[in-house]
Amino acid sequence: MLKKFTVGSWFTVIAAIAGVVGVIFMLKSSNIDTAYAYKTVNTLTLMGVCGVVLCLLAVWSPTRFGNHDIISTFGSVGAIGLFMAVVGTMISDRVLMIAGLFSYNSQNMVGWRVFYATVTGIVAFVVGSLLLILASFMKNAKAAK
Amino acid sequence: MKRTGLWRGLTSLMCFLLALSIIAGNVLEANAQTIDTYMGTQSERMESDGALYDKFTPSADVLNEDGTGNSHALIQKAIDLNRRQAYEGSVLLKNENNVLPLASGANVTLLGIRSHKPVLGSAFGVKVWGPVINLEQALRDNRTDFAHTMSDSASTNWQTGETTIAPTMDAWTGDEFDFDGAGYGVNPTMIDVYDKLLATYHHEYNEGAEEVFDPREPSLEDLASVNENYKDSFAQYGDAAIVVISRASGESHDYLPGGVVAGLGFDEPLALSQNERDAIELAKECSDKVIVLINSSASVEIADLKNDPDVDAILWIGAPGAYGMLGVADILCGKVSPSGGLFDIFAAQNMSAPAMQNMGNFRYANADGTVVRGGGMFGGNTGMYIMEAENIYVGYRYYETRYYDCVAGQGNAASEAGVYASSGDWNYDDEVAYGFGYGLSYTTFSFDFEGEPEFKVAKNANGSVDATATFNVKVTNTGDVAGKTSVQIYGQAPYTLGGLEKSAIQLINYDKTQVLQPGESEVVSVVCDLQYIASYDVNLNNGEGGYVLDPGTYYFAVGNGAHAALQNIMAKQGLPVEANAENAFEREIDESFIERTAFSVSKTGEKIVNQIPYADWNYYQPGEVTYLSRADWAGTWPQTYDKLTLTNEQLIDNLNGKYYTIKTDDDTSSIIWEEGNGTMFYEMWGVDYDDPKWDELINNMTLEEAQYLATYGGPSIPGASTIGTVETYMTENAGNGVAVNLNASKDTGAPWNIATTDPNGNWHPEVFGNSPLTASSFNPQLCYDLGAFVGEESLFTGIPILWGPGLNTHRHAYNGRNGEYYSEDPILSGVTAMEFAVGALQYGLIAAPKHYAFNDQETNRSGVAPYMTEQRAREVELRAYQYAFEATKYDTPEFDQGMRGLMISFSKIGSVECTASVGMMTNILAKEWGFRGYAVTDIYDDFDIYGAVLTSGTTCYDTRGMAGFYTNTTLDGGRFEGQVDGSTVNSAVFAGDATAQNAIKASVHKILFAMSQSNLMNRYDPSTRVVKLPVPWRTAYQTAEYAFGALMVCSAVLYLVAKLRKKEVK
Repeated sequence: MLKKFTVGSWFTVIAAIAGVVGVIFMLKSSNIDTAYAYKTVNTLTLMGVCGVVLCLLAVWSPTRFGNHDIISTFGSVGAIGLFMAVVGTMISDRVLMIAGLFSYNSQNMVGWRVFYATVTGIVAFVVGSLLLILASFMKNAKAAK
Repeated sequence: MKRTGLWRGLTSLMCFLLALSIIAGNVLEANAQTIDTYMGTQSERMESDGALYDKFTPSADVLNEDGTGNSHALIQKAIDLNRRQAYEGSVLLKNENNVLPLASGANVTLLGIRSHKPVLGSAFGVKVWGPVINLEQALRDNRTDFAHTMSDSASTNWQTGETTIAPTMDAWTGDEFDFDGAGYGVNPTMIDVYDKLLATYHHEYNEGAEEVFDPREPSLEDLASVNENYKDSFAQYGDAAIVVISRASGESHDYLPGGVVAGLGFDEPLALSQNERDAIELAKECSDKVIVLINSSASVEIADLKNDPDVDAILWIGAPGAYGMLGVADILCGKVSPSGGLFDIFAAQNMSAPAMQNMGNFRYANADGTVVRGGGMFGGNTGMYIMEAENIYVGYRYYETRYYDCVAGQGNAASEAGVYASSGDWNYDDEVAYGFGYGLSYTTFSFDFEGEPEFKVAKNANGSVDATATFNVKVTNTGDVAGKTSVQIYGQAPYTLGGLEKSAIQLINYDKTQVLQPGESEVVSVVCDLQYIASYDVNLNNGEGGYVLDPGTYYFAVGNGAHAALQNIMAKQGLPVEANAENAFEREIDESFIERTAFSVSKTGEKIVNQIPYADWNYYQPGEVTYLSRADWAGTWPQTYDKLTLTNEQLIDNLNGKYYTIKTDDDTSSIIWEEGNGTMFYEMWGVDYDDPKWDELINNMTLEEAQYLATYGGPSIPGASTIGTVETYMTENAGNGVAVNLNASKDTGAPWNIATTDPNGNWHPEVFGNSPLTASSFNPQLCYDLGAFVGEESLFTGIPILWGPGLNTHRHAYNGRNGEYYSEDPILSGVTAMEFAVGALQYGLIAAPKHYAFNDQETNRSGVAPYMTEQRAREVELRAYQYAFEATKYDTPEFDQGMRGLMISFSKIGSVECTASVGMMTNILAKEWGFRGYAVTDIYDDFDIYGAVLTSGTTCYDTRGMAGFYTNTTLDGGRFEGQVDGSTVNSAVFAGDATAQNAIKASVHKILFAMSQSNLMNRYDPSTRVVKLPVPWRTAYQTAEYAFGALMVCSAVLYLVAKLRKKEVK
């Protein structure tokens, strides 16, 4: 299968890895302190993992069904949607804490640890999504010779 | 690129952009009100079909003839009031050879970099916003230059260490204002020198305390490096040299013992650095008239200046606010004679206060693994404590009592324990620079008791006793110029060596004269409530506790501050002091006059007993802490308790937040919800708290609605459709004005609303000076007028509840928050806050004094556990709140004034969170003092003990930033994750807990009652509703959502079409 990989395929693989990183840092930011736990952490984890699975589907599918096939398209778009849904929830949950860190509560050192984990997770998900977008414009499998 | 690839890529891109739009929309809507406040937008509005705004209106002097708002007049009124605050509150400490006042026309040199950039407000907290009048302008000019004199503020990020300086407002394009300045010529050379040095020694008009402090005062070499001939200018501007010494105050940081940058020639942050002393020496070179302005909310160590014969005058000016320098100029040039008295004692060295033995960072020796409760949303420290071993001897109470005992020769007072500035044994004159309440004038006054003081005792039907002493004091201006003065009445209760601890002197009440012309007299009647000279005895009635008025000889005196009053009493007692015994009065008080325990029944008829025994460390772990006692000053001088170990299980449980477990199986069937009787909130205007109509109203609500109201305490407060209320942005900071720009009003439907096009529309009402300046005026009427004006601000900004003013007492000088709190004295603090709050209520503004209670330092403020005796708690910190919250001055037989708002402290009392202390919140606050109103936590505090907080008497949480209730923000939205008792917060969490449901009802009653007395009622009638408005950010994200959604669908369809065609071609 690797022989059929294109640049787009590798972008998608990296997007999947970014998704895994995102999930890890999302979990980390949720477990630093009970006060900063995501109430929907299980749902967020499931969404992140599903996004990664869809990325992998988007990698595998073109090698079997050819470039720009419907399954890989569904996988890419679905993964972007799921990644961004996780990002949205993370931002909504953290916006008050982050506002405090940059104003009256900058001495909240636990908050800063949560902040850095959160930002890392968000960046990973966004980078993954951008790579998926780029990959979507590209060929995802080399044509059979 | 193949078309399938193009459409597929665009589908992914549009999906991403759609997701971004949705995220942006959700975040914006959830924080809409906060965004409105900062961007000056209005995203929603309360509307009504009826004619409203008939309950509270601004005064005529800030309105145009047609009833519309006059922004120019409003700002002018603020300028005049801030000016008055400054000239009434500034304290003249020294004036040798009558160097002051300095006549108009004098040419003066301002020295010290702070003369060019003084502290006007706090970096965070009571910040001064917008354009200001600085010292140079007030001394020299006659018209504001607001366009070029913008206040600024620094913010230091703890994580990155980065300090950013920013103006509080981008620009001022509104009106300029005329004023009558001092008329001095001001040395332009030094202004230029300091202006250039600001690039190196950055300073702002708003600054805060620093834990490792550097006053950033340039050296003389620095001055010469800018202009080597700067001294040449002294000849022309040598009529006087005015040096400004500043220390800032602000939220979240303290000064710390020894916390100074090394090598600057000082050891403590409130002492003068070498460069500051050099600036004073330079002033002596410049002129033979040296005047020092102390620009600080803390007691700066100035004993050296007091004793320096070449320093002619010292004027304390606090942090005077945006326009307060006009008042300072008024005093300097003699337009007004100074009349303030010190808010705190100014010790020669602040470290000599017994409280300083236990100030700063202290963590239980076994905190790790023992105190396991999380830090909460605010990120607090649960393993930190402070031991307030100084007992009741806070501030002047310590210095004056020890002085008394030294003279009386008792209690080992003259020992070396606690000596800092004395040589050998403890000596008051060495240890203290200026006493509490002290202040000079340009004239002199005589004080004479006019007849015998009138003592009255009356027993009320509820068992309480009203006992007062009225002192009629004839004040005569015996000098040559007009002036006014405060009349401070102090008292001394009989003390038995080794008995109940008592301060040798305490302020009981005060008032102020009008301006008296030379030779003119005025009789000032000061009514003193004798409950404030009673002492709290935790051992009364076999440990039940209560107040006692021990039989014996009581002394009362008038004087220029606590020390003079005490000396007058001592002279009356025949002790060897030089004072005026005629200004003291003695009175035998025994059980024939009043029962010893008469004050153990509160004004409300509640029996007063111990309520916070856990405040005392020895309650759980007896004998481990020794509190300071005047029976043996040497033997009980506080040690530093820096390694306390937790052993008692209950103490540990308290620290871990185990106060209350939500029940699941109570019978709650008798608690009425959803009654549907038709009573609506708009009908509640003027309805008494005890009126049964409140039950009817609240019975209409659903439990979920009530829980929303009791959970989200603002700034946005949820509506309840069953009683006709709507979600409204209702609360804001702070004690020096309402933190909303005029053109960002939350009530744009008001007839006096300032339009966004008004040239003064971005004026920000937080302009007044820090709290100690207000307190130092010793002028109740000024405090009332300040509150009333802030009340008017609330009408212009649409904010009916103010989170302020600060009402905690100063435990010591190093608390970074002291600038937000009035004084070390509970009566001075209580009177000032009461007057402010009652004045604010005149315009329908609910003032919520904060932080109830014991926020005695900012270090570890979120989670710190201060330990003290209940006597100390009640006679110092709580007495300030008691005075304000009982507000008996304004009671009538038909009307109980009281307070309507309160903000609770982050800190604990002992091992228990103040927010969860039933003793604090219900038994003392509500039952003893009769509080009926809104009592909110501080921001995000104690989210993890939801049940404990909402059953204690706390009415709601400060949930700043949260809005969009029932949709974006719900009870089970995750903010209250990780409950200590294992419960899950949601709308059903109290379904099986009758105690909690009744507590929620009580909370809703108090919140709605407060709201019903506020100017919010201007906006309520049967048709009141909320409409969302098309603000730019809302239009932008909604447009983006529609556009990207449509493009995504189109791209997906085109992709499928292309894919199908490709298949057909194949």
